[in-house]
This record gives sequence, C-alpha cells and structure tokens, in this order.
Amino acid sequence: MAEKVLSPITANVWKVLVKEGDRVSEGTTIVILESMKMEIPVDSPVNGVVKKLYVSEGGSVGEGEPIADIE
Amino acid sequence: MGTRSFLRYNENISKFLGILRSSSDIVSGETVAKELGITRSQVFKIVRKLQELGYRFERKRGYKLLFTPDIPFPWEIGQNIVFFNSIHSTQDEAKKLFEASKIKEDYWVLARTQTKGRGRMGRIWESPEGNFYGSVVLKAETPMRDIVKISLIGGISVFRTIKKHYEIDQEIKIKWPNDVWIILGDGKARKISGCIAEAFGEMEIAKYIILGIGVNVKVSPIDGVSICLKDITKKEVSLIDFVRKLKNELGTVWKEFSDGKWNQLKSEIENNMWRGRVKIKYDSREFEGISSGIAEDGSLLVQKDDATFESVYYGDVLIKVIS
Repeated sequence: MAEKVLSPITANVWKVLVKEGDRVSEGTTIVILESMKMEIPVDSPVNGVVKKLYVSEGGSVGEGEPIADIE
Repeated sequence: MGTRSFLRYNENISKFLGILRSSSDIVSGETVAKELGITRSQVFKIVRKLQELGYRFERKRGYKLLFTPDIPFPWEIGQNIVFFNSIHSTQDEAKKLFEASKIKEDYWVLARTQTKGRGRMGRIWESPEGNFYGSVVLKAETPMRDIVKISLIGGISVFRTIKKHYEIDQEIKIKWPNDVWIILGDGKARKISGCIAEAFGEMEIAKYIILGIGVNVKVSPIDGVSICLKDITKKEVSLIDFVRKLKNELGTVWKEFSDGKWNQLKSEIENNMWRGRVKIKYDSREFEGISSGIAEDGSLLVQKDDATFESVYYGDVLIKVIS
C-alpha cells in the first residue's frame, strides 16, 4: 500500500531531492517547497521506495495535491 | 575567534560592563571583584578578553571603560544570543545549533559578517561588516497553512523598528512578503532589508521556524539597488542599539501573532505595503497587474488588467517601471 505524500500548502517546488526508485527512510527530505518566502522541506513519513513523483523542480503544487507515492 | 567558534552571553562580562558604565570614575579591581563575587585575577581575565574584542579601558588603580566597539556581542544584547565573528550563514548555523540542542527557542544567532549569506531560494545576501545579520528560532506548533504567514513577521518587525525609532524623510514600505524598501524622492525604491524563513516539522504541523533577517544598517552593499539606515538618517547609527530595538519589536510582533492578532498584522502590512504595477513571474508564466492587498492567508492579491484578482504565493514580484 503506497503512502501518498501530500503538499501542506500552495507552493513552488524549489528542490526535488529524490528520484523515482530511490530508497528513503522516515524523515528523508523529498522536496523543498517555497511559498511566501518560507522554505518548507517535506519529509517522507515512512521507510520505503519512491514509487512515483508528481512534481518537478520549478513547478508548482497546490494545497492537498500529491507530491510523491512512497511504497 | 575561529570561523566556527562563537560567543555566548556571559553574566560576569555583562555585570562588569554595567558597573563601569554606571560610574563616571575609575572603579577599582577590588570593588568589581567584590560585586561580581570573583577574584581580581578573574576580573583581569575579563578585561583582557574584552580588549581582544576591541573594547578599550583606562587602567590606573582600576578600570574605566573608554570605548565600546559597535558589535552586537551577546552581553550587549541579551541572554539568548549567540554571536559569530564570521560565518557562512546565520540561517544554516541556527538550524545546526538548534538541532544539536546547543540553542533553544527564541535564541538568535548573530554574525558580524557572513561568507555565504543567503536570500530566498539560495540567492546571495551581500553581508559586509556593519550590518545586521541574524536568525531566530521560533517555536510554532501551527498548521503549515498558517505557517507561511510567519514569513511576513520579519518584514513588519523591521518596518516598525525603523519607523518608530529613526527619523527619516523618505517613505518606508513593506514589499510583499517581507522586504522593506525605502522610496526615494524620485520614486525609486531601494532595499534596506530582506528576510528568509524556513519551517521544519511534520507533514501538516510545523514544529519550529527559523526566521533570518538582514538589514543594511551602516553599509549599502549594492549601488542603485540597496540603501542603508545610516544613509537615510544622515547620522551615525549604532548597530548595537539597532539590534536591541529590532529584537524587542520582533518579540512584540511574534507575541501579537501568537495571540491570534493576525488580522491586525495583516492590516498593518496592507496599510504600509508598496502598491503599484507589478510583473509576476512564476512557473514560466508571467502576468502584470496592480499589487493591491493581502489575502486572509497572507498571499498577495494582484488585480489583473481584466479586473480579476489573483493570489500570489511565490515567484518573483517585480516592480514594473512605467516610463
């Protein structure tokens, strides 16, 4: 069962720090978002593999939209 | 001081300077030692340390303070201060020190200069000696949705500090979200301050925020772009004094925010923000409009040419020069 990582805010995707297929641990930072000059790292909530990335650097993401699936 | 070593608040140094400053005369080593409850040789060590840092004393059968360098050492500002002579970035260091439990919430990391000072999205923040560079750790168990509002707090704090405590002829404006600009007589804008904020926590709740502020106090680093407090007051300004005032103002603004006074703060920004024609650039998209207010969630409201409004959360807000 994949864990969906959702964006907490409307933001610009400043940095994507993982690729699909990467193994991540709980707490590994997946992306860094930027909104209103606030930089917000989004961490993986679980141990697993990045199954799918929905965002790319320089793109945007809305509140509640998916960032990645971790399985 | 090495690059990575820092100074903390020291009660004895603070008291020692207090005693000397409250006396117009020479104070004997014995009096100081007695008041501090330390030996005379420990007093001498304090004096030597302060001399190394640039303080000057008259030393004849005691001590008299002749000169205080205008550097925000912790004992000049307050207890929750950590000071670096030179550092990559106060922002990165605050995070490291906080995560290593070397500093707590409400602590400020200050630096005399930064070698890799950063602005938003990894941009460089020019950091010559004489200006303010500091990052404060704020505890914030707040939903991420509200946390972006905290980004605006630095701007209001700098705005209030300058507006309340310094006499200036020029207009001072907050440029959304948190820069502070001085508007010159010919309408040109010059940047005096900028902020950067980082939120750390779990998915939906931020645990803590590191808010970094840079203010051009005595030096304007980039001709035609920046301006400094000294230039607009046309007087000597004390960096120590500025840091004390800014720290107090930020404490007040933070308390207001924590007490749920967001609406008042929002109005304050709206009443003092730079409004005008802007060009918004993000996601390889560009549009123009008039920056006209702040939305409830803290985003910038831009009125487009077709009279509709769009909320801006990120990206570059460029002032459109109409010639």
